[in-house]
Amino acid sequence: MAPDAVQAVGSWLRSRWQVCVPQGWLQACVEWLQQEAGGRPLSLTQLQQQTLEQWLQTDLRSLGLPSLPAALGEALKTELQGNVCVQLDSLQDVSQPAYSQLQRIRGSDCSNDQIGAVTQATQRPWEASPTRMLMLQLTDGVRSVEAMEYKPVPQLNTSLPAGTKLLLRGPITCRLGVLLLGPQNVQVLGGEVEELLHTNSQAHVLCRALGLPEPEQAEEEEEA
Amino acid sequence: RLLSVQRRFCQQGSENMNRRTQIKKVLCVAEKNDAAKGIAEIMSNGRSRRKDGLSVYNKLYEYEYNLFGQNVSVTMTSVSGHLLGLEFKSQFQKWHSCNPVLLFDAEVEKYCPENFVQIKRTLEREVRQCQALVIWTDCDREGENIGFEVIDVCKAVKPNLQVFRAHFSEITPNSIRRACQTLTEPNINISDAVDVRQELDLRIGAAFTRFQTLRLQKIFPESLANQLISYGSCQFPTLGFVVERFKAIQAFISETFFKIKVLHEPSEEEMVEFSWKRHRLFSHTACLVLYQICMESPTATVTAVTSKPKSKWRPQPLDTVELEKLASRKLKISAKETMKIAEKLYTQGLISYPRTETNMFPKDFNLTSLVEQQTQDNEWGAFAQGILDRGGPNPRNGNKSDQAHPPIHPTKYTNSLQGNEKRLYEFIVRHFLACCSQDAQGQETTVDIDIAEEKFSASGLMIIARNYLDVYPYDKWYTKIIPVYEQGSQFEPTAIEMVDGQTSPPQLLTEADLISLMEKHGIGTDATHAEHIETIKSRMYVGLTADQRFLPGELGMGLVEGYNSMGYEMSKPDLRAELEADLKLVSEGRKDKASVLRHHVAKYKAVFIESVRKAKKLDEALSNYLGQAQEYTEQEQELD
Ligand SMILES: [Mg+2]
Repeated sequence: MAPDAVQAVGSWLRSRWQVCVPQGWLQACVEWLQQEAGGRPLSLTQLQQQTLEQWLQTDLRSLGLPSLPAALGEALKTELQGNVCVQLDSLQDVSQPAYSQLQRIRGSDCSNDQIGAVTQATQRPWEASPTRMLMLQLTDGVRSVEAMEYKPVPQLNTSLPAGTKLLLRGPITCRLGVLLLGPQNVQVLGGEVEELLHTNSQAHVLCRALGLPEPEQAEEEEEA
Repeated sequence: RLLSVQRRFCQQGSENMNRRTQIKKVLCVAEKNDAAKGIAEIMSNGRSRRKDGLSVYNKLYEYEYNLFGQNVSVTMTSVSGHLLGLEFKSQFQKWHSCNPVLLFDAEVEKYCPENFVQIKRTLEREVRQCQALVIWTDCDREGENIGFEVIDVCKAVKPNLQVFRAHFSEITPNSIRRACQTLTEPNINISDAVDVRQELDLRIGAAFTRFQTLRLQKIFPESLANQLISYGSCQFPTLGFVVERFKAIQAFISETFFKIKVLHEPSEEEMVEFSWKRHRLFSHTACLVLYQICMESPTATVTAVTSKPKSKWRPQPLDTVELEKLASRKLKISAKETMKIAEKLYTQGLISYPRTETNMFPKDFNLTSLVEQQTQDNEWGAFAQGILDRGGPNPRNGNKSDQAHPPIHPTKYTNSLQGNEKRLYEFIVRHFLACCSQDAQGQETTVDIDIAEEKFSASGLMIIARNYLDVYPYDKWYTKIIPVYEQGSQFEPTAIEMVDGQTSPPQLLTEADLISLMEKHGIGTDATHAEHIETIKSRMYVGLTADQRFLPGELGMGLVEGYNSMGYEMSKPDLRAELEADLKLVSEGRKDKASVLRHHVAKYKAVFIESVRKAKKLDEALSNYLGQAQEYTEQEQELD
């Protein structure tokens, strides 16, 4: 095992993607990738790409390497500087009732419910479709932080899988422990965390918000 | 266009006539005594001789009239709605006479109910001296079918009788005279559609009603021993809507939302509330963050002041469904009562035929004279005159036409009505005048402001011309004053508040909502909506709350849940909607009676057999409401 290969991958992750990983994980990952290749030597580019892939699929909690500033949650108003990689644990559109979102997901929304709703007629067009606002639960693996879609961020949507990695680009205002995101602040790197896919799916997130029992896996597959 | 088609028919008709027996005496038959009386009065110029028939309620009116280009003597009489009923042959009539599944194939026959026998005998007696029969029943599906009942009775005693159909939408001199000049052949397709519906309703209704009544009376003797538990293929989907809404309300989960409200009091007597463009957020934290941002730099900047004309549209011409909905909403008169009154106003010649799907006036329709009639009224006369003075009637037409009747409108002025008859007539007149006048005009001003990049807006309305609103008190439109703001100017809001609220469930259905749903899903026709609603009320499947909204009863809930749990969506509208669509095709001559009957009998029979097989589900669902189910033995269960 060439220690300079591990180092080269590590510095590429840092410089190209602002991804910091513990030395131990990096070493183990590179070794494992080489084993998997079955003796065929991997080029540095392949090694870098595949390590990034592995990182994208990893739950950052298992790495235990904080990248967010410690005091972020405490100040009334502060600013996050620089670039930070985080994991999106879950997200929810808070501009709409969770109940109607859940009904849409379950296919049980009923157009008959609209009939006779007198409020409908007096709603202004912009009230009918208010700007989406996503609330994001983020973690760097050690510290958690909330973020809100302060200005529309088209890169984000509710079908992003739980565990998606995001690159946050500062400066980002942080108030009451909530990052205020605009389109220039977010790059979606991709990935997911298999263990979170089920428990942090939209149906689960919405059920939790409503205090409903969370659906069983089997049910969900039926729904899909 | 309909009228020209009728004219052509008429020419053919008269050619045929010349070749046949000369017509000297004509029997005319209307749908009700009132209609016969009104039509006779017009045709005879008030000089008809009234005679008694065998039925005390159906008089005979005799007079001379120039018909088919010659003077003929006319006898005008009437039936009382349907003359014949449809029933199973006697061996199937008793409830325990057969397994209900046989009712899908058992022989049926038309018969004359006891209380109509005298009417039938009058027709048989009178027609013997006549060479021609003219059908004057209402010009709708049921009317056409009643017409064929009359024809069958008359032709049985006078096979070579010549038969004609009069087409009219109102009992007024012009309309009746035109009908006499444009007689056609009666339309068998329309009548066939009614035959199909009657037969299906009889078979489906009897089979399911017997099955569920006999079973459930035994299973829940304490609550249902003497209860008829009827089933109808329209009733059940109608009930289904009520249950569906109730369940939607039960399942609803209320959520708290938060919003930012900006108040500005530019002077002591002015107060403006600006509402947030984000409307509301379901996250306290998110709202609080934005609120703090606003509070840190609370100066408002006026980003835009826009002013644009805004109109409030005058109503479209009335069709039956709109009449029922509006009367229910604005006058608090039920659909059933509304139609009863409307029919009475129609037979008195005061309004046009109230069963219509048309909401547009034909181009050549003489609206001016109809508006003129109303100028003598103390309350709306001046408004009617105003329409005439300002360029004449200008209706805001819809786009539906049933090609048979015009929209509902007043045909004659009166000020001698009382109670609900007066209120409904007044409504129809005001609606008509409103429709013929002008939209209300206003100017809406919207002020957009920005506080720390959050956007808010407020709007005001200045009413410039009330127009139709002056005659139509059922619509409201209010002025909302907004002070002058200048674009680019800044001000300090009086208050910026973060407030919360709760989402609320949909409301229970009103009768108007229920009619809308029935119409949307094709349950029943505009002529039958009110009846189906009445049926589910009278069966105690639903009740009404104090504010006249529909609430399902225990029996209604249990039945719908029971059938739903069988998997067959009998309380859902699809089965019935397909049937209604086929009936329409039969009435247009595009599908044939026998095959449509066969298809739907087979379909409902399959559903029935399955329901019987899964009958336990019905017991289970009902026992949630009616308590423990009694044992139901196989012997008792005649069906298996
Ligand atoms: Mg009728």
